[in-house]
Amino acid sequence: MTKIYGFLAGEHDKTISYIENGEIVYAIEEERMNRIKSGDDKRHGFPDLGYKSISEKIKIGLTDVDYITTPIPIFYKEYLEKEYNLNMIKYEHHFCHAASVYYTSNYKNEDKVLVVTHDGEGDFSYGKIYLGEFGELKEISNLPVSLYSSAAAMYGHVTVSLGWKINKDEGKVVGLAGNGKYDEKLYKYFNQIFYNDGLFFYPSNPVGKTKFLTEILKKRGYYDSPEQKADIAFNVQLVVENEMIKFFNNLHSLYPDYTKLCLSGGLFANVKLNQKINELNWVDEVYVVPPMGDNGLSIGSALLKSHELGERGIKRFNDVFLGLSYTDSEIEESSKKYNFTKEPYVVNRVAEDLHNGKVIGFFKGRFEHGPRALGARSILVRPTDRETHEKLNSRLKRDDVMPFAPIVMSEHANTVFFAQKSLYTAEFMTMCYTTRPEWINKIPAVIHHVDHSSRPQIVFKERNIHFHNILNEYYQLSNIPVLLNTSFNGHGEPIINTPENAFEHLKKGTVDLLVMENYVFKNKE
Amino acid sequence: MERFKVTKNPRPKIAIYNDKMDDYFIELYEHRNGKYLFTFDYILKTNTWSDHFREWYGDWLFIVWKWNENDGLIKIHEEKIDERGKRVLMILDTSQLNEAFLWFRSVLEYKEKHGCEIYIKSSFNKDLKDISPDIQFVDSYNEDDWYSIYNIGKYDTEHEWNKDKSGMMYNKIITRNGDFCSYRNPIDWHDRSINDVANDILGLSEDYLGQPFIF
Repeated sequence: MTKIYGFLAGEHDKTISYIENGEIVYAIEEERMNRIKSGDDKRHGFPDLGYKSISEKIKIGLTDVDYITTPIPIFYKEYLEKEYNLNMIKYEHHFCHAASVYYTSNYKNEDKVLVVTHDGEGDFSYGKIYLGEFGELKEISNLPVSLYSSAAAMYGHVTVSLGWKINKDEGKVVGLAGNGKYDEKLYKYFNQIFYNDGLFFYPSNPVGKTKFLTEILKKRGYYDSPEQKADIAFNVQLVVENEMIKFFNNLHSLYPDYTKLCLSGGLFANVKLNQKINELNWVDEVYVVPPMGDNGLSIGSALLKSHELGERGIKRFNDVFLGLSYTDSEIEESSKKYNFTKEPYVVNRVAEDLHNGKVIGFFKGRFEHGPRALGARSILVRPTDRETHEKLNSRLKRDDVMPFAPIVMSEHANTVFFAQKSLYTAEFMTMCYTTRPEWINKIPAVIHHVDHSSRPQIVFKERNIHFHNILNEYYQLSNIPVLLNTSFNGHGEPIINTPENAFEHLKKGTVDLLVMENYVFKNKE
Repeated sequence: MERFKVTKNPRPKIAIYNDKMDDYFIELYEHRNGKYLFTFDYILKTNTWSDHFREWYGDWLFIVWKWNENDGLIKIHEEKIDERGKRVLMILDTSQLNEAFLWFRSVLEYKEKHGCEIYIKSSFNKDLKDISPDIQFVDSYNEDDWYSIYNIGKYDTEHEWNKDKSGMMYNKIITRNGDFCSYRNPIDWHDRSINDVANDILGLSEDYLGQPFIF
């Protein structure tokens, strides 16, 4: 029984994971533990707190495992090996991205799969293309940073130019883009920094060129109003979508038998882009790994070793609840510091509260791996009110531009949305769909008001029973099989981890009541 | 109208002159294995200059861009460090006579290859003078008097800013063993023969296939 620790250190998205006999047992982003958003964490180092938690739970330390795997640069690996007196195995950055998605996909072993990675840079590359077949990954193309362009690099620096943070707030640009409009000049400017030719993207140095361009545009008054900023976002998003679609079509013309896609790397956090790719006629299915950014590299590296040993082939995620959970006694102990009432969790009573417009914190089991709250640390609200966006932003002290996302019962997913393919990836909220016209006015809180797109989490009873139950109870009351689900965190804060994190939000009034495991907590009147 | 001055004394350097104030985007590319690899960029204003810290031969290429509303980014100038017929100073930075002799051979090969006017500064000028009458020697120098300058030596010091507080190398500088000066020796000199130390710096060895640097 092979034991493997995989980790990412020394950069954003520090993560540690533990794999045993080919099964992913734990995967924890350090931001959940140290409570500093990855994009804000300037400390370069090992994911110490995540490691401590896992090793205490499983009583297995770094010196007890068979392998330690990582995607970090060689010189840093050598430094850590000396520092900790350990041997580590380094796998290439994009190979780890590719493994993280291919070996967790729901494809069959014999399926012909195109595996595409694309991000802001890793191991001197912006991305790679692999052919996945019979459980093996074969690299066919590479984008060295010194020669090519990157959509993610351009996007990241446009994010900065709009006053947000790179590696953290790109989703806000995606949201803002929905409010903008096409502008021939802006489109041309960004297209000069990122365009496709064959399987490659040009010109070189997208980072420097984007910085220069956005600085100039600011000086010339292109960022003066909110409308202009939305136009910037719209046009950069459109360039990325159009050029990536050209790329995928070029790829398809070279490999017409490969109609299933695996996507990984920070670029594919862009759910609007994923939607466009999914809408290509020749694409049968798209799967974006839930930890699509560098937070997926630690499991990617460990899966590669596991695959080498013959212990891991393709195997889908049942869920990504790979973090920590807390016992009733730990919850009880933590709650003593607060002045709350506590009663048993009765699902139809909470559904009624939702129906009556209450904002509910939902804390169940082990927390999620990846950037999305999928039912372990979520906030639930009814989806029927347009003004919920402002209300929630105000409560959470967030400045989210992206519409909030829905959860939908799997039985009704295709009734509410045009959700006909790529349903597996939609279990993890990594795909957008267009809302069917008859539902637009029923669930305005969870769809984009301009293009009516939505980013649903499709909830299957057999894999997420708690979430499905509450959806079903709400459906019985409202005839709407949809709820709003947003991550359980305030402004600038990572998604919560501990009962105490959740209790603090209840105390502050972020949520009206808190479902935690088998209990419901409320502030005393 | 812009005027440009490109030199490599001892680092690739570009200066932009104009009567009108403007913003320029400068890119520096290094020629390696048949391709120009993006290396570094700067944003410059009129009548300013900038250089890049790498000191070895890279067949350096500068590309200058400007922006205007109709065309967006436009390339307005491209210039390589072209030493043909220019004054090039080679500093043989060693106290070992055998090293100076071996590196001198590389300098002669460089002169042949690039057709430049070579001057040498070393502790062994007198010993080297008789070997090749084409080469001139200097005892002191002023950087601005030279189109190109090369420091040839085995350098140990790394930039302090390339380390974090714990002394850990990071910041995407790739070094095989962080104790050589990666802005002067393109390959860790500890792993190289005496000949190759000079050949690496002067772009005469075939082994310089290291990963490109990124910033």
